[in-house]
Amino acid sequence: MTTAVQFVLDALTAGSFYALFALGIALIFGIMQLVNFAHGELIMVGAYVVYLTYRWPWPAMIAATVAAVVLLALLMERIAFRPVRGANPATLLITSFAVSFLLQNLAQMAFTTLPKSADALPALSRSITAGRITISWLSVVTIVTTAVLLVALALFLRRTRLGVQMRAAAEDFGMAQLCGVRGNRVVAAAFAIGGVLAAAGSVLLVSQTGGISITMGLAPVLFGFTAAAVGGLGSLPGAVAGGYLLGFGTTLLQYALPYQLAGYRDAFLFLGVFALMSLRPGGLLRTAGAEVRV
Amino acid sequence: MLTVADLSVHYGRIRAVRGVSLRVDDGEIVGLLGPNGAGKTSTLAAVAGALRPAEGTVTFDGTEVTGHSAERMVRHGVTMVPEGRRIFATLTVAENLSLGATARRDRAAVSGDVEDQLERFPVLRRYYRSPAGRLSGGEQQQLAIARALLARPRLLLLDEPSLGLAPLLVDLVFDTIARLRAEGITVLLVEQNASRAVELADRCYVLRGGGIVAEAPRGQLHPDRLGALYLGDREVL
Amino acid sequence: MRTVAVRAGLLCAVVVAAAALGQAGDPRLVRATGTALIMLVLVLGLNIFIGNSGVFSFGHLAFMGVGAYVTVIARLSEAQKSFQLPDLPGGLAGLELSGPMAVLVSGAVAAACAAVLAAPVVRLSGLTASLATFAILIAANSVFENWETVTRGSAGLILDADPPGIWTLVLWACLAVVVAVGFQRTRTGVRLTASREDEIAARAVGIRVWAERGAAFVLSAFVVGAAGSLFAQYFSSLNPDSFFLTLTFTAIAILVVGGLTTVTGAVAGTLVVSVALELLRLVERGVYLGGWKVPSRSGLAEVGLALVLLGVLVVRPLGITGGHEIDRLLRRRRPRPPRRRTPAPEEEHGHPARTA
Repeated sequence: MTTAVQFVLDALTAGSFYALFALGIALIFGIMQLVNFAHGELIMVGAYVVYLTYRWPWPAMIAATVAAVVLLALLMERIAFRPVRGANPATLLITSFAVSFLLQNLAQMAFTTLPKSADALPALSRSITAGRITISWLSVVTIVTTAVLLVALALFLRRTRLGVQMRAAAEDFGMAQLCGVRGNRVVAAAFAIGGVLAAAGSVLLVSQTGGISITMGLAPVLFGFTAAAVGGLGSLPGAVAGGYLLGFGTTLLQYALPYQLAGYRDAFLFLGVFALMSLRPGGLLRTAGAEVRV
Repeated sequence: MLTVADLSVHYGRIRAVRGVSLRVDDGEIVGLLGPNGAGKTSTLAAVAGALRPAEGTVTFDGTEVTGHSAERMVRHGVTMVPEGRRIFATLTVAENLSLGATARRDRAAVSGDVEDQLERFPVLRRYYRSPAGRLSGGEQQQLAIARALLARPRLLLLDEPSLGLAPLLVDLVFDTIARLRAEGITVLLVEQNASRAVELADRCYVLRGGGIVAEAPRGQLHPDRLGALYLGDREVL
Repeated sequence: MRTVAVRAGLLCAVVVAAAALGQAGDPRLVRATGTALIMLVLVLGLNIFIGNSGVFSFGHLAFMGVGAYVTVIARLSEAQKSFQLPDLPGGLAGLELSGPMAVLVSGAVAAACAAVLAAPVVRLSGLTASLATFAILIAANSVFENWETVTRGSAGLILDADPPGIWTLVLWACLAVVVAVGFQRTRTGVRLTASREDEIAARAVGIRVWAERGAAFVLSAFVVGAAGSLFAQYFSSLNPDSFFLTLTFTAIAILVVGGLTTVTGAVAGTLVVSVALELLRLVERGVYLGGWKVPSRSGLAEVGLALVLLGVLVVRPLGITGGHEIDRLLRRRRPRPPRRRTPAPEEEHGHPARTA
């Protein structure tokens, strides 16, 4: 029983991380058909900002991180992605790959490959014990923060004018423009929101692992994109569902894999992704979309 | 109101529109007719700002607007209802309509206008909170027109509004367009349904192969003449 | 047939000339030339699949890794084998191959792996295919890291056999050029190119796109696996990270800069990028610019490469060669017959310049 509860908590925590990352990726994909690999670098940069500011009072640290990451996201959009907007998916993918590579190596020039550590938000490492279950405050905060951000995003998309414009642009960008929607503004807003999600993710990630390195963005973006793909790329609810599904999946693998195979977790996971992409290219949760019949 | 001079639109090496010149005066309904592939949609799209022309100029109300983006054209007062309706299926009817008013500065008047459109197209009121994808083809066309009207355009561009619609709905669409003229909105209309368009429009241009082959006021484009123009006769303009 | 000979001949001449220049320089330059030649084989392998099918595979370096590891196992001396890989299963422990044989066998093993994976991959298109192949790369990396009895995990392996000389590499590179050019002109290759231009149209005329892709996928894996073998033999050391994102990125950058669809693009891209990288690495290590020392910063070369790639993507997405092969480029001087005027059809799926 306690293992079950522990399992659920671990899965929810992991799922929250993946949902955050997945959402950032799905949001951009929905609007621009771009899988933004550089999203991982947003998380990495956020982590380095945390490293630089973790001794500040925590509201200031969080504000600094959000500001820096959002700024980077907007710059990324303006300089690298706007010129190639509308290009074919392969070009977009390579562009995002190039930006990711660029940022990683810029970070290497600035910070070297040596990982850093930061004791961010130390208060969160304490745990609560209830009976035989131990929950760390960090888990609670992660789950709650993610839930809050999700609700906020949903409200934004449904209740605000910019949110409706964003949904319209995601469905039919050209038609939205014909209605007078300012395309550049909507895309920038999407990147900014992605930046906020990435910043939240990076703060929580650093709090959890304490470590910061220039390659730390890779795992989040891989898992984030996997979760988004599972849910059907471009679907926001799908991304969230995919994130939690992935959280449960990876936690299950972690609990269930015998010790010798533990290292292969990623191999199993990505073989699973491969199988999924092959069998259900539209994602697990989408019904088979219009397949072109010739 | 609208002057198009020597417009050319290229798709790579394909010249879809070659040196088209036309004009639309205040309060008119002007029809743009022609066979498939004549360049009608491309011409309209260039005026609307959805495409950038390779050559030529577009002037609206004395201001040159060549190459202005669609977003800007809406703010100038030119709105287009593109072919195939293109309503936002995952958004509600209400949200679709509100998007039409995106560029409006006078937000207070918008809800009044929404009410007007609901009066004009009662079916939209019934589905107001439903996803627009639930509407039938004809209903979607009404939504598309209502959405465009919410921008309070001075010039409305319509691309094949009757395409794929049942005869009764075609009547509704053409009645609506006639009423728009009465309300002071100028219309440039691309239509495959040449006979209806010819009845309705004050003037028609006929395009073929990317160029204008005829221009005539109402009553002077008989079916035989039209048929000949579509199929190959060239008129001296 | 003549086109193949001419085209392959021209390209090989370029390769030989460049290599001759390179190997006459100081040891650093010689090494850079060797690296470039191996990159060329890799990129040619990629071109066979990506260039012809238009499907972007991010996973091919998995096959390179397979080839590399097979070669190391086959070429290690007895003593080193029992030291580095003591628990190697019997069959593999006894494996011993000469340099050239190792290249071919490694290619074959890589091709076999590809054959297994080909069936699902080739039915996918566009983004899904890219993502699926990316999953292969990650999974393979995880296997390389964890299958310690065979790969020694992240510690990597060191090969104590004699590395091949520059001219051996040149030979393999020219062979790869011939294979790439030859494949382009086979029936499979031509049909594949048709499917690249318009998949739906190709399927409509009866081309079994997935079969063509499968052939290209397996052949390209062979060449890439061979590149892996050469990599292992020349550099004499490797670890799982050698065949992961950095090299993938460099290879893709070369393809894009040179021009995705052509073999000439692969050659031109490799040449240009290799030279650029070498210059950037010089700067990276600290260079005296007219008396003022530019500080050394590791990572600068990669930053430069990324910027170049971004520039090309924005300004000239078709790459330096613009989608033309070398024999076409040289022939462009001749005057063209006048174009006939025909009425323009209404183009619904064209790509006119969009207003921002």
